[in-house]
Amino acid sequence: MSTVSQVRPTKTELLRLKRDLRLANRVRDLLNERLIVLANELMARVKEAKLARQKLYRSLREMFSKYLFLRAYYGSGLTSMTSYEIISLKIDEYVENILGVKIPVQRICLEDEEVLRRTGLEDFAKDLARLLEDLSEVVKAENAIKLIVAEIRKTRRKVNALDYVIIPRLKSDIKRISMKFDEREREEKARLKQVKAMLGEER
Amino acid sequence: MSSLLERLLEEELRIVNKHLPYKRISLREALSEERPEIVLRDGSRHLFDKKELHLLRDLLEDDHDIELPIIIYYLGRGVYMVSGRENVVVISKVLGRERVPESDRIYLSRSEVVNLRVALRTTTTIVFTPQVMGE
Repeated sequence: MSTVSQVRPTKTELLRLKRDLRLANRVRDLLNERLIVLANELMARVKEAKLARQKLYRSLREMFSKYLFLRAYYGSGLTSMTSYEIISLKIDEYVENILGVKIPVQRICLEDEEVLRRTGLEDFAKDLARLLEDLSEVVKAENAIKLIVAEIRKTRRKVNALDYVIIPRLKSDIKRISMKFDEREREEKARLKQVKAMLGEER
Repeated sequence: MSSLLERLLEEELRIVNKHLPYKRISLREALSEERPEIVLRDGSRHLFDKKELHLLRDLLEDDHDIELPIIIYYLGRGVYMVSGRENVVVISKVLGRERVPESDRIYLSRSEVVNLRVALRTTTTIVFTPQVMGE
């Protein structure tokens, strides 16, 4: 560190700096450990997102093949059957807390399956409910990934600030004060020697 | 170093375990609720996934109960630990371990915690132990 801080070279200041250095080291170690746990959590969420996406694609494929079959059976009548009815969705919102990272979660589900039942698409309603659930899972997992990555970056920045700015500055201040004390001690010794020599000459 | 910075550093030590619950609830209690949730130390609410609750119920033997969320203690250097007989049994089953440890503690590696957190995302929580926090 090239910056020269304005620290008074006193014993109290030295003790305070040493205490700060201990605290900064402790926080740095803790943040490093937090980074390890967050990275672990990120791996879990990536794995979860991968599984959720596979499940979603499976549901979409099944749903699409079913749709094609129904479309072939009913023709354009299929869209007119459902276009008069409004399929309402329900969104359940809540917040999940993963290691202090708050992740907003939205669960989408069918509010009323009756509309599809009335049109004779009962199976389709079940598949649609499952598809919406799978979609919610993917959104939840991918949202968690984004927020955990942001938290990792934030924590990494703090660790870097401690590693490259705060701790080196504290160390250099401690070193500077210690050197000042040593210098004073040497001066004192030299002065005493000089006084002793002068006293010897007088005798 | 300014006192502001000192306060910031102390704040970091304080907030690291803010995601812990004020009070844990039993699995039975959680299953009986329409919206099973708990209040965390930072005042926010944490909702349990019902699918996970049913999975835990299936893994537990009859008339046994556990406190939720299951606490995973982080001991530092990538080592985790879960204590409590019922928790040990449940976690061994979730991880597919062939032999359930006889002790009341189970030590987990990082990869096992990844798998555990995928299976039990809302019903487990990680805690930093005092030794990790340098206390």
